[in-house]
Amino acid sequence: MKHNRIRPALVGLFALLAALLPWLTGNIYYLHVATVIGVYWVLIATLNLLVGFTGQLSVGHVGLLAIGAYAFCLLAGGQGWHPFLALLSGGAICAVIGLLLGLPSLRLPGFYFAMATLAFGLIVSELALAEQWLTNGSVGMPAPSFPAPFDTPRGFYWLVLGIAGLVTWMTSNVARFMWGRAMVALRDSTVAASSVAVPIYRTKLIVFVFSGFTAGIAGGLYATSQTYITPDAFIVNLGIYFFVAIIIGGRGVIIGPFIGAAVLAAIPELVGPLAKYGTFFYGLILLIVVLVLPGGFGELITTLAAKLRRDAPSATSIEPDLPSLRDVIRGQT
Amino acid sequence: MSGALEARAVIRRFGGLLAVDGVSLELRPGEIHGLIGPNGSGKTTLLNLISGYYTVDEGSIVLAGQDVTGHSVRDRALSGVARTFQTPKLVLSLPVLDNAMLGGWRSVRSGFLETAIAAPRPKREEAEIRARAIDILRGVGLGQVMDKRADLLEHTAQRFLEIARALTSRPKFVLLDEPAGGLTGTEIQHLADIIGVMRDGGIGVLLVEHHTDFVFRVCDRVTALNLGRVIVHGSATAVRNDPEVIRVYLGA
Amino acid sequence: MLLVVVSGLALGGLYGMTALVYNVMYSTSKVLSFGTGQFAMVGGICTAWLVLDLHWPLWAGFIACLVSGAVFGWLSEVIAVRRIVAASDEHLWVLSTLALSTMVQEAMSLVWGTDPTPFPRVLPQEFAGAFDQKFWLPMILAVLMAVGLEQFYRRSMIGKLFIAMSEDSFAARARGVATDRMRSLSYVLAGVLGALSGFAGGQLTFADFALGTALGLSGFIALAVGGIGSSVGALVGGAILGMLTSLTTHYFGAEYQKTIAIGLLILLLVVRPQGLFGTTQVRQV
Repeated sequence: MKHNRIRPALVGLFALLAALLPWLTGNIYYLHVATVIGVYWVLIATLNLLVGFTGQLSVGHVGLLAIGAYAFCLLAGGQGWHPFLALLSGGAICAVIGLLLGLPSLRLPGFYFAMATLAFGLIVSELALAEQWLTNGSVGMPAPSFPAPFDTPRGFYWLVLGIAGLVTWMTSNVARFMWGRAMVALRDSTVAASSVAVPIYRTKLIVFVFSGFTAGIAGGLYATSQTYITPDAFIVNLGIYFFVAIIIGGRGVIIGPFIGAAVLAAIPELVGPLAKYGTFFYGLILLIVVLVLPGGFGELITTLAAKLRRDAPSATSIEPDLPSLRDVIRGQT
Repeated sequence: MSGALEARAVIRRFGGLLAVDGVSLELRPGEIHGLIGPNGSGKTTLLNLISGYYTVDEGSIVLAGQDVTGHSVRDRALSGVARTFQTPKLVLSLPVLDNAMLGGWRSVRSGFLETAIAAPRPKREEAEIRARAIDILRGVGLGQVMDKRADLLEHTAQRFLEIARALTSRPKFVLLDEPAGGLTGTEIQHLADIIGVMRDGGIGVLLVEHHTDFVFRVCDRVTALNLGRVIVHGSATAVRNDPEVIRVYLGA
Repeated sequence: MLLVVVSGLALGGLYGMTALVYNVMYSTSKVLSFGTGQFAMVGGICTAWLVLDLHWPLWAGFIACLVSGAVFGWLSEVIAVRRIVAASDEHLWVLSTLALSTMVQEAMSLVWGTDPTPFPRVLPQEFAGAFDQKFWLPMILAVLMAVGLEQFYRRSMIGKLFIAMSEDSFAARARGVATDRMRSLSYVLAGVLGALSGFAGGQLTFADFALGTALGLSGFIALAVGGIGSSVGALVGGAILGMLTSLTTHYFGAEYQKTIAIGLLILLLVVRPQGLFGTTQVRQV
């Protein structure tokens, strides 16, 4: 919501580096990690709108990732649909499921909603294992690849980058216009939100459905990136990871959660044998951030920036400008 | 009277307690209407009933001839009823300007997807609301602090910000819930000036207040409550000199 | 069929006890802790380890189980709740208790392993079947716990202070109640009760690191069905959920347990959000 010339320049630079990544590193493994981060980001970017901006703590969003992945594999693989059609259909299916899940549960207070989404995530992984006729149970199923030029690691990386870029653009648009303010108001003060006529339930539902759609798309992309999916890829711990990335990245910010996602994804890949401690550390980091820095690192940065600009809580002397106030009010009613 | 915001014979109970007992009040456009009464007289309850935070048990709320008794807080806000709160309800993590701009939500027609693709309409609405909010913030005297986070504002500025937010919504009526609380003499004068400008612009202002001198100085008409009932209502001078009002405020 | 009913009621006892534990913590802090189920898990695993691996006598294992619950209860208040309650942003406790719960569960899985292990017999008993103690222990203990808590709230000074805090913690503090210490005490109590329920239910559920989340969810559903703040509601809610789970498993197989449970929750919350025995609360402006 603030104008800044530095920010677009940084974003442009980053986008350039990201696009050139396959040539900057010849290592296929790093490219794969970057691709997976991109896929996660497609989900996290809009989950950020739901969790960070609107304040709805959806712990079980991983369930939608799973449904998107399986839908994609079934439609593009088993049914022979064109992969892009299958991808969009997976997104649409998850949007509908998001609607069905959100309709009853978004009316509930925070803890109830979190529990309901957690239960949803557990149910999806339970059903993925049990409904063998659909999902092959614990055996899993292979994921189809996209048509050329997206069937190489490099090509697929660019596909993911493109989709991630599109989703990022969309979420940052929502964030910086009036809808973004309405969502933050909803999170911080429902009294304030309803007093300015923000439709609380409808807003939550729209954001939830939108985040469901992109989660479904992310699911399809995830399946291709892994080339083979099994139910234990979609355990609740992954959902907690998404969550933590957003919270430590900072609520109400776009860039912060991206850094959070990248860092949290990179760590297990880089520390290898310590990876099994991953979820424990996610919990620890979340706890520390919540206790010490509830606004996440995004808030840390804005607070530091404010301190540097000497934005102290000093006393304001209020001097109304009555004539221009008169003009404004007269000009409107 | 057409165009007015009215409470008609409103009754509200809490458990066995009759908080508001058959109160009628008429807020006209272009007037400043004071609502006074000792603690427990039902002023804030009445305010909450008019703005929609409480539902009436009996009686009705009417806006420009239309019965809005069953309408939600949001519907009433959409119809042009804005309010401020005894303790300011701001979005503390947002800067002052964004808080004020929230008032402009009422005029937003753009949808979610439309906004996501940065279509022309959301951009235009954003620019319009921003310009209006900036003018209003300057008008109420907060022009210096527009980029400051709302939680860094001191109390008085937060109150004025709430008023700015209300004004950004192009309201027909503004309900002020004890806005003078914690303000110094100069600040109260600023508040009075701002309220006067609001009235001159055709807005109907309901002023719920404890500071009775402030109320009698600023208001055109006053309604005085005690124990949930109207003692008297009429012009500010008439109410100020009413013996019953004097007794309730100065007597035993 | 008797077996289905009995196991349903036993599960119900376990869920009901978890709901009671939720209630105890909620009364003094208005926090619904994500880690509520973990007390039972910790208590169960602690007992199984001490008694089966280290060959401690059962009574010693029992005491250690309760102590472990007390310690974890105290820790969860100090770490996850105390600072949050003082801060203005109320929803953070969802995150902090979620974080702590995740840490406890993961630590347990790393230290103990992920295979469920059998739990020691509490009373000498040769026969199995419908009168197996693994069914009756949770049932009886659930009722005892509910009755005990009610007596505690009504008769004891501390219990009455808990009630006072749950109705209006500002007023309680203004009257000189040491709310921090009371809250801490209530969490210790919750931990002990949670561990106790883990001990009682251990033979039914096995010592399993994943028990905590599952129990937290089921216990929460029992709580929501019965209504927050009601001990009777906790038992009734638990019984309903337990029976529903048992019947579903019998007729449809074990895979649909959670689906049915969450379906029940959502149905109830749409129809009667305050639960069967709960009271509505309204406070906004």
